[in-house]
Amino acid sequence: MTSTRLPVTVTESIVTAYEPRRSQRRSTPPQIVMYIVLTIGAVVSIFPLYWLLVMASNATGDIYKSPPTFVPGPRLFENVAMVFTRIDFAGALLNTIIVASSVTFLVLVLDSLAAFAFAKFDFPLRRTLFTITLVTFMLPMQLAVIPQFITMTNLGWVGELQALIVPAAANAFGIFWLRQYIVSAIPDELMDASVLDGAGFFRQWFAVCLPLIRPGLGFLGIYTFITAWNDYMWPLVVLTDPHRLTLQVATAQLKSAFGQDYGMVMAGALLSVLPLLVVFLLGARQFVGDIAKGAIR
Amino acid sequence: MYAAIAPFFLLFLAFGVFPTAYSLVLSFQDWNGLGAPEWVGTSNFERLFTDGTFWLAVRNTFVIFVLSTFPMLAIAITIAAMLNNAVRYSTAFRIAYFVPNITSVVAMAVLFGSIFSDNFGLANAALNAVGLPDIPWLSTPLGIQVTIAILITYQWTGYNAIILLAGMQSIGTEIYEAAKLDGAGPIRSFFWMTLPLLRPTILFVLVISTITGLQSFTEAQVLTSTASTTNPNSGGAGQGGLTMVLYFYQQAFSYSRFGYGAAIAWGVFLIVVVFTIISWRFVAGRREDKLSG
Amino acid sequence: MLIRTRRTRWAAALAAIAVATLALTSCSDSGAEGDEEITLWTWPGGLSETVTSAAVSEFPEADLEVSTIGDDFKQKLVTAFTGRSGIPSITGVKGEDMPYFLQEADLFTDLNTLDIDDLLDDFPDWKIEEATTADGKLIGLPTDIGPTALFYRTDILAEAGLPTDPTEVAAATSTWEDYFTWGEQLKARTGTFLEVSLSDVFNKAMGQGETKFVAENGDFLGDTDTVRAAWDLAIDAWDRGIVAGIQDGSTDWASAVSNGTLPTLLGAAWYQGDIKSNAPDTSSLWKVTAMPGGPANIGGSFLTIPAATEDKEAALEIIKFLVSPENQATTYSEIGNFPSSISAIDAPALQEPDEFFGGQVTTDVFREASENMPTNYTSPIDNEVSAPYFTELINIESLGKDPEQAWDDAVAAAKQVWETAQ
Repeated sequence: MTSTRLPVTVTESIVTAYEPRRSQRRSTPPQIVMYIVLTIGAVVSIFPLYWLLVMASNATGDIYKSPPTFVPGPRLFENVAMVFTRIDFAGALLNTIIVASSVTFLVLVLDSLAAFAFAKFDFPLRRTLFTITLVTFMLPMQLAVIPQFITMTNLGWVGELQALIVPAAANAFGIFWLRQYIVSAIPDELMDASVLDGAGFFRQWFAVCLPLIRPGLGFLGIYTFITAWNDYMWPLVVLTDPHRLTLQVATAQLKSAFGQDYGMVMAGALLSVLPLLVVFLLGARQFVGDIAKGAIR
Repeated sequence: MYAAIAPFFLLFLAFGVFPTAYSLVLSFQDWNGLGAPEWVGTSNFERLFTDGTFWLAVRNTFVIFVLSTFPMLAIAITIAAMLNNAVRYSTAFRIAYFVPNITSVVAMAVLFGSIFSDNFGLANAALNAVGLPDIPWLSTPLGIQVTIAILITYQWTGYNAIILLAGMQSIGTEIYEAAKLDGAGPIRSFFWMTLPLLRPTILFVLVISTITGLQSFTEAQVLTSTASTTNPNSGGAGQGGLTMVLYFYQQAFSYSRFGYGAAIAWGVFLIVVVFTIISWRFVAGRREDKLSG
Repeated sequence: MLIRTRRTRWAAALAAIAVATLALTSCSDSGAEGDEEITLWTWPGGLSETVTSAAVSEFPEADLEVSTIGDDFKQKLVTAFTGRSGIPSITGVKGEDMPYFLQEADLFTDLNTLDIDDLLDDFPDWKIEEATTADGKLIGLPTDIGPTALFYRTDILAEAGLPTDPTEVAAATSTWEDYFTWGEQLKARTGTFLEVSLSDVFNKAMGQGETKFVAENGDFLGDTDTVRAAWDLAIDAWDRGIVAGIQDGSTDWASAVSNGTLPTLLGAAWYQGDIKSNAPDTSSLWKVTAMPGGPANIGGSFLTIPAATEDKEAALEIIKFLVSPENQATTYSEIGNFPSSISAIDAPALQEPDEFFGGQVTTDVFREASENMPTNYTSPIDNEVSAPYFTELINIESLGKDPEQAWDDAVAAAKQVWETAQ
């Protein structure tokens, strides 16, 4: 239902990293020490992923050795192949892509519509409705899990992907954040001009609002996607069909069911992390281009 | 206009408001999901109050919370301060520090389960290499709690560092120039200017960490899960990894106790709300002291 | 301008994905109802892969699809039943979960209403009773039974200067007392452990008893002499320092079995599968013999047909195929699940020596165990009521908790679980 991960500040500050620094404060403690510490920290951040690769590419027997091997081995492809024979991993990957994309699309459409209405129009109950949205997005997920499961039972959606997609589309945080964005990104004069042109609400939303808030939609989209991709508890509860799992549930199942085949389990974990990592690393730059252009326009 | 907000509010009613209200109703019922629900008054809450396992879960959750949040905050502030001064490669650093937050908790919990494995894990191999004895990470309650705390710290330090960095960058440079003229060194100006000015951001980070930390589930569930059917989702050795939300999940879905599960969920909610307010007061209150003093 | 087009394309792509999703999910919906696919759920080690693949090709018209479900199998099955959606056409039910599902017998097909008369004689009566409700409904056919034995590593025993022949080992370990004393020698000479965990000793000793934690009339048995005796055995082993304190089935367990830290294992026949798959390098070093204190009865599963299954006849044909004597024999040779079929035990395949066990004919050991093991009543809440004992035993191992205190806490907690279930 809600996500406590607050994307905005983070992404913006990642992005600001690409802008040239305006002031350069030098005069700090010995620079070299600082860079060494920062590098150690970065290595610690990245090392587990490297280690994942090492284990995913070695035979299970080699992993039990002491001292352990520190270099990737030759068995990556065998282990990956084993993952695909053990469980329907390809299906899980496809399902996760479907769920994360659909949730992202729905959240962007629904939230931008509602946020646009809250930001630029006045209508009865506006404040009340907005306050309700704000208050309830603080409610924790586990309060809703059992009733939501019962609802899914009655809808006949248990085990189906809709059970993951539809509830996640009600993302109150997106409305809250997009509303702020729209207030600052769309000048009132532009709204007035479009009214003079005879544009109705939906036309204004499509022609005026959406183009101006693209960078904002980009951030919200990426973060909704990541959250949906990594979601675990709700899919674990509601997905029953072994051929309709998400990557997270499938990876956890690899561990609990075939846990002793280490190399294989690690290959599964690696595969479940990789797509998102690639998207993030590729997307970071694309993102920056978008935001820079968005800011200029 | 209403057509624009209606889709969201309809979904929100169905999957946000209704479940929350319904879970309140459920908490006064006894139901396994298959038969008919039965009204039991407040007995679920009475049971919750005297349920030793629930309070054990509360204790575990707070131990994990303390073990993860404070080291995480300290490291994150240090990293943020350095990044704020580092000029070269800062983009690469930021991305590197943010990567752990992109990787899924499940995959990392699976990985950490092996790194901290008692007999052949990397962590113990590293300890042995410098002449230290093995630590029974996953076979003692405290070991499990430390492992979960390390996992949470690993995944969230970079994220928090970047939020704190954003806070630091919003502090104007003029104030530092002034301080420099007054002869304040970098360390001094960090403690006497950066930290106090950063308090709103620290507050934000602390509140978010409290809310997520007290509701941790995936880390514990994946790290302590086994194929054993005798006692599923019970949190591993000495139930050390049994967090509040994991206990909720076990009661609701391993044992199909929907009513008691709902009561646990409300108990957890209350604890989180109270504690969030406390941590808010803790930071916000100290600021007022400073200002008045 | 160029950017704008690219963005529009991006939005169009997203929209297309969303539309495709809805189409896809609704398609698969109608698909599941339309065709006559038969789905079968089992868990890792539940059925032999050779046999299930044979079933797939044996029944081409049934379009059989076999799913191996890890994690908490019972929970997944209950979720499917509660959700009334995605229920398999045939599903395995573990022996320990059967009492729970007997309470919800309406969820399953009463096999007595189908043509099974020629089958029943082939199974032991007590095993059939385990899947029969008080009013005579039969909801499952047994795939295997769980007679237990002592598995041991001949190389480590030889290193300790102990006899390695199965008869001699059995003679030296015929009672728990003898077994523990023997284990102390083993430990003193090789530094290895006799037992995996306190829970394991407790569980095996409980499996030797006639009663468990809750009586057939619903009485609480958690403080009876049977339970206490099993508990005391576990504590005795602990005091002698012969318990490794490793979680059964964990990676640490796998490495201890591989590297010889755990040269002795108590387990049911199906445990062979776990040993073989986790310690392939130790092939030919193992032997198996009678369990100390007599055989226990642990596990042994069933195949059932949920009530929602449309083509019950077809489902039954597949079950008949899977539990046929020949296929049970194949299953035993492959993963060690001991046949529930009386005639399968005499199948030629089961008289073959097993290379993993140094050429021993393991069937003999388990056959004898199966003839002498107790059959005991298991309550639907037995799992839950027993959970506190296992939790407290782990507390003794990991926290050094006082055993007497642990016992009191376990009984109190178990009693509370029992009371809430009343």
